[in-house]
Amino acid sequence: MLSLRQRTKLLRELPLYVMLIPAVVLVIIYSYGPMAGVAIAFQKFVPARGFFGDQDWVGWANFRTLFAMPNIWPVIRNTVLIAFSKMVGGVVVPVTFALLLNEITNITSKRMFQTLVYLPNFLSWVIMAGIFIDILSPSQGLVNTLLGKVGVEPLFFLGNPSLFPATMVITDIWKGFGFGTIIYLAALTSIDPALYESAVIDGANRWQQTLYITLPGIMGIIVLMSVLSLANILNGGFDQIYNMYSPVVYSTGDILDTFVYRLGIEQAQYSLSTAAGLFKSGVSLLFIVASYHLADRYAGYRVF
Amino acid sequence: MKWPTVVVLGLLLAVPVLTFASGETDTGAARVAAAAGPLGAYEEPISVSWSIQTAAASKLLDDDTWEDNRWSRLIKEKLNIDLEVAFTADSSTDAYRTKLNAVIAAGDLPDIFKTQDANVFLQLVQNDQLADLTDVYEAYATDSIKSYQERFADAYEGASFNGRLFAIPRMNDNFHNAPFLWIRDDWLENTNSEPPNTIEELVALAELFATGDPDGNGIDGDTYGLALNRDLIRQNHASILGLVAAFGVPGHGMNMFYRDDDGNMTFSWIQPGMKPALALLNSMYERGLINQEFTAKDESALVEDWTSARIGMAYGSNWGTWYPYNNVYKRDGVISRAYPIPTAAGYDYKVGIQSNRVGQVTMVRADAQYPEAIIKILNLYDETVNFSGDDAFNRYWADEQYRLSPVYIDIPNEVYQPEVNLALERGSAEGLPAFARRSYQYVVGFADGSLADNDNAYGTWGQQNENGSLNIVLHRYQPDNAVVQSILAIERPDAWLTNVSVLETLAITAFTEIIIGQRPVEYFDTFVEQWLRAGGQDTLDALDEMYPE
Repeated sequence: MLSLRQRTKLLRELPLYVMLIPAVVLVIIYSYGPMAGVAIAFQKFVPARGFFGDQDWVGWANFRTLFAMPNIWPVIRNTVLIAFSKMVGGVVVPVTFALLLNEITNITSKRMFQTLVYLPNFLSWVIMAGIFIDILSPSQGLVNTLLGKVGVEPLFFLGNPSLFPATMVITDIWKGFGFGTIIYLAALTSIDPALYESAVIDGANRWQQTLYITLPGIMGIIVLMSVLSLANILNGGFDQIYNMYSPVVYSTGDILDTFVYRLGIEQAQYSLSTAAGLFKSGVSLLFIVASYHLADRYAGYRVF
Repeated sequence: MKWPTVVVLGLLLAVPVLTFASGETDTGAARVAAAAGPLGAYEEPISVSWSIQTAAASKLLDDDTWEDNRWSRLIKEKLNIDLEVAFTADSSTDAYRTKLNAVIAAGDLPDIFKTQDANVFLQLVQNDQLADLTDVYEAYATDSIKSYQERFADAYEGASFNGRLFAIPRMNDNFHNAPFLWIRDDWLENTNSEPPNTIEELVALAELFATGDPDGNGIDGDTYGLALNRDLIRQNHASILGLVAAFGVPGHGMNMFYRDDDGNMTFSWIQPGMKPALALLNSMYERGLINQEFTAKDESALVEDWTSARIGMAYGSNWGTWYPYNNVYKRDGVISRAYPIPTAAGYDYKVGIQSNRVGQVTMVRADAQYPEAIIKILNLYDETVNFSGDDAFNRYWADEQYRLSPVYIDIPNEVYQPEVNLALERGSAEGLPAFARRSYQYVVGFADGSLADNDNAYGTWGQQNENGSLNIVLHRYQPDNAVVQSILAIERPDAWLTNVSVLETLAITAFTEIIIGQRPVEYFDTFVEQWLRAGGQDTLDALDEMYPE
């Protein structure tokens, strides 16, 4: 029997639980339901026998095949390298930009910049890739024409394996940093203006104010954002790379997702690609757990 | 679930269904009567579901929709069959294949559906998912259809399993799928050149195109000599297939397994002729004769460059005048033609084609209620397109409309080309069979200008004129014994299925790196070793047993 207090509490929260139902149902259907599909990673899956049909179980054979493939290790290295660079840049750039934007006193131009840098976020990579392929072209592209003006030989950003990963990282940050900027700008507004006033009285200049008041003020958010992005350690960005890569940059640009795509979708090797996907999920899970503890320890952020 | 359980469950489910079915239509004999012969209508309307492969080339004319169009109405009117669309997906991308695989795994197959993937067909047959069409084919197919079976015996074999027919093959003949060299007419004219016969002449012409002003815009050197696209070895336009063929390498995607002169099983991309071919491509690339950014260009980028006159020469397939060179013809009236591939001194050239046992097949799911419907629709298709006069042909076949029929077969142009040639010589279509007469009319009509604006006429003309791609095969490639057919039919070894994606990546990457000079030509030897080690040798050994000499 519930006490009166518990009953009132339940009654008060009931509408909230009801509102939660659609989300829970969707998560069960689209996130938990398909998890049963990981069984495929341990089968020699033949689609014609059906998902629930009489498939042959092969244990870890698919994983052994996968890790015996000659290009799997370069692929993992590329993935981690590209994803990690994106994570670092994805923190540094928006923080810097937010600090700079914060110094602008004219509200109109501040809003304008904020909106402008946020816009690319809404375009899909299919469109962005088409634009980048054009402006990065060595013969007619805008970037190389400008570089040519200052005497730099044309660079084939998308066709040179040593430039390709950097190109991916920079274009990705360019596309996404507007979103981070908005978060950090919001964090900046929460800093007590009185702190700045007293700093000025103590004779602190702009740089010192930034270093000793602004940065510590938003450090919690910075740590939180970086720690949460750790879970993306194996997410190189399929949409982006698939639309911009080519065989000539496979050596440095092929990531797990594109590799799995070519293997799984183009060749219908569902077992192998599920095994690769499961491996990716496993590694990501480790990082999520780690990041959760780190977030708790350094930013005091907990979900449970 | 264990098999006994399935069987028991199956029986439990089947019993009431069977009782019900027999109560409804009495016996099988009654149903045959209801189906009334090869072209007769069903007494009661029946409904049949099918999946539509849409493609870049598909067109819906007038107010047609996928659900309600000229073919669905014709089939309803003549056969009393209501067509239902199970799903539509683009087959020129991965969409259709992905969708079909999902539908297969979910056990939710439409009554009639197609695949181009031999492995899908094989898996379905082996797991009893397909209706055995042998008996309904015997009972219902018209004599005309049965006559194709003799001509396209290989295709029928590829649609059969243990001697039983499980699908209707498209009945195209792969020999036409050899590579050709395509050149724009206006570029040859502007540079006062002849089409090249040897590799040296090809390089010289490419040089002329790259450094001169073939497009006549007054600027030298803003054009390229030879087009390549990033996929290199796949059968599409701007591949290297035609160039390596000159060096005795019969390439064709990842399909070309064959026995060499000593009877050993081998594969196209590990042939020694690849080395001089890659060296040549590398030197052409370094001299700026090949588009420098080809590694970032796919086939559709080539179409743009060709239409906007930045590129005027490329190796490609027989259907160029249908697509993609129809674009520049439509825009600027520029004709592009296919030529035999230029040859290299000291090498017997070899063009690679797939086995006739593989190709598009149309299947019926195992428990479809009316398996004979596909044969009746096929009869109707053949009757309408091939034997009912020009109006019916134009309405139901031309402008890609044939794709709206749940099952279609190719017009066997290959078979009738010799007769078309004779007619062209005589200047009269008299005595030609119906579909050959159509080709003749298109070729003549395009040549004399009366059908100059007709897409079908330009398309057909490119393939079937006196020097068209079909005649290149018949009068050059075949007499020279240059055509090599892959042995790879529908059965493939596991080693291949598991590794083909990695092996293709290995080949494309190695060739690209050699062409753009990132690695020396000697790297080809390393590639061959890697290729053999990463599953290639296992595949060759398995194929040697699977397809004995």
